[in-house]
Amino acid sequence: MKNILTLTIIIISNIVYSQSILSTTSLANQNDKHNHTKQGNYAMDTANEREQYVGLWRYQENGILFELKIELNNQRLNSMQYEGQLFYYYVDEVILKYKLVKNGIVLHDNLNSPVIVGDYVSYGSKTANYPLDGRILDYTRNVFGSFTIKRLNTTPEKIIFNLGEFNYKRLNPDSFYQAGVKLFSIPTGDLEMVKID
Amino acid sequence: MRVLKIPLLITLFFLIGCQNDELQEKIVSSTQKHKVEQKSLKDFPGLIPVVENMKKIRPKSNVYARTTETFLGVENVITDDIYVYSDSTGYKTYSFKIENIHNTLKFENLHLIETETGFIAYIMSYDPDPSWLEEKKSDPHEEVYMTNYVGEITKYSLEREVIYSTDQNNYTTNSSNGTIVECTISMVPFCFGNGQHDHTNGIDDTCTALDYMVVETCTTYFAGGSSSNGDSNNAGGSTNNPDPCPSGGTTGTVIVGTQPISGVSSGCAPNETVVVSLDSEKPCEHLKKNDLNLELQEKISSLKTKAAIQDGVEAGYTMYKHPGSLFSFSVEYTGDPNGDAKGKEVLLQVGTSSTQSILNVVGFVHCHLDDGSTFKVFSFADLIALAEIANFSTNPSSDFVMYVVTNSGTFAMKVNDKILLKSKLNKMNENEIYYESRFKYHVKMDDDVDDQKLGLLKFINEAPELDKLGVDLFEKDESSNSWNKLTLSRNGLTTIKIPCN
Repeated sequence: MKNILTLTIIIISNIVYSQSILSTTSLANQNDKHNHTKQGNYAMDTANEREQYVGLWRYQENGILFELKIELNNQRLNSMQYEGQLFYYYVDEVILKYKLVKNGIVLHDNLNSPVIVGDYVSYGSKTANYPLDGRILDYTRNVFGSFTIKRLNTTPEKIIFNLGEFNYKRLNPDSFYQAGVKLFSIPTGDLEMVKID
Repeated sequence: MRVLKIPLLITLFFLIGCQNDELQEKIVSSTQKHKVEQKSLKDFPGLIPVVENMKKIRPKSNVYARTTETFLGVENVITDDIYVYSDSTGYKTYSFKIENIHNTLKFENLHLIETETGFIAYIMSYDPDPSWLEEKKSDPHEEVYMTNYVGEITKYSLEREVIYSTDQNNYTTNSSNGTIVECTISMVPFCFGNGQHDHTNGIDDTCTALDYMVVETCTTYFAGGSSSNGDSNNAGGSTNNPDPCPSGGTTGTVIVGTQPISGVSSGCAPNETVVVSLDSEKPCEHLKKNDLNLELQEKISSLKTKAAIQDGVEAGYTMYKHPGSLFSFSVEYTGDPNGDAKGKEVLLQVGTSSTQSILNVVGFVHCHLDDGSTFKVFSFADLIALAEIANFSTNPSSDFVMYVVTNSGTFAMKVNDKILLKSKLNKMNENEIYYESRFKYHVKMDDDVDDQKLGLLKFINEAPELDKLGVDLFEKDESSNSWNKLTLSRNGLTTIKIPCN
């Protein structure tokens, strides 16, 4: 009887929380643009476009050292629970980690730390006809910002990383963000970064 | 644009204690006073179970056989915007709007009349003449509409039994219990000096500005004789039926305690005067009326200039509504040019004064930059901000509007279902990262404005857990200076523009 009860619970759980892939789209196909987030969809990097961004990139100017590590994050689950139903879709994304040093002081460094999967993981994706874009958490200032990354056809390999100054979310109370202190500690605007690894 | 949370909370806390000061008191004469207050149901905890029980009432099945017109369900009664009328009798009447979800010209009020033992409830249904309505559309002062009302009026019980109707095409004049109701609709002036309701002086030389309130007084007379259309439990009124009240009475559904009693009964109500609450304005009418507001148009024009500045910052104004369809605006808020503290986005901020507060905030007009650094249409944060406004303000759905101005166009977002939007607010806040992630796949800053419009509509319509959010999107046609409602085509691949004629 106990086994039957356990089995029933497992079956019900599987029905309620099933996260099976119901369809697939290609991130490289512009016509799929509005279908990536459909229920149960898996938006796949069929053209392997993320690969060109993977690696460790460096910007060093004016007393600022900013290193950005981009890693693949295949089939990332995006989901939320609502009135007992799970809404979800998967996307092939990248994860961002960074090291920021200003005037010799290390403000943040998680380059070699494992990613803690939570609400505010820095992520990005590459869709057709657009640069790689996503959200990055500025750990020092606790602001979730929007970025784009464009790949340059140069030797050595370079990217343009741009942390925008709009479309952000401040995670600390308003009183934390005082006048005279930049909202972001990560440099904003176009940064030319060279691949070092 | 983002919501500045802390001031919102401080304001709300502050104003809860001050709410009773926001009374609208009218002086009919020097000796006879009455008072009209605009309140929310939550201000009357004892009424909540009464309203909940009223919402459960359904029309009697045989009522449908008498007419083909579409009834507005009592379950759609708006509880955030109640007119409470009281006078020297000490008894109050409560008037609720019933939201018109059928997109007809008709508008309805539910009236709850306080008696010694409970309440008498009935519905007044107004079916205005189309030409009168056309006149109404061209008149920016909505409070005067009822002075020359042309159209039919029907009085119903909560079970939709006709008590009285002026519409001879559908009903005989009298209801089953043989009554005649005479209703007088009048305009009552009150002082609105210096932007505040004058509680003390009435209308005299000190009054610097007047406003008007529509007041309806209905009296029921027992004329005797029953209608052939009557089918209520109380059918068969009689000339011998004694008038139970010294000055007539009113009819409707009797409520004992909190429980409505089936059927139509006559009753005595010490105070039978109710306030007519006009139908919620249609979004197009509201936008067109706002176009007549010169101050708003000046601000939109100014914001358009700011939107075109390269490497600029966002700017905006909070909008507040006052009696007489008057707007006031906050000072200009802007993002920080250096990207300090709050950043370059403009924050929605709500005042704490007696005239500009969270209770009468109705919207926000702001700009996005058109240099690819922001969206050319509304952002997801804008949706949350509009929901925050709807959540705290006591105004009805039709009053809320969010404008965004860019060099690519002027857009408006109107709330069509405040209750629905409010219900989604917590969900949007709790799952902002999830929704932002969805949003980014539909709306790209690099896209041209047409693609962004389509993406925004896709996001609103296809996030099933948001149930379309209770908002509509509009775009200004700059060449004709008119508004178009934006909707998705049936196949979801293109944007359709529906002109606001």
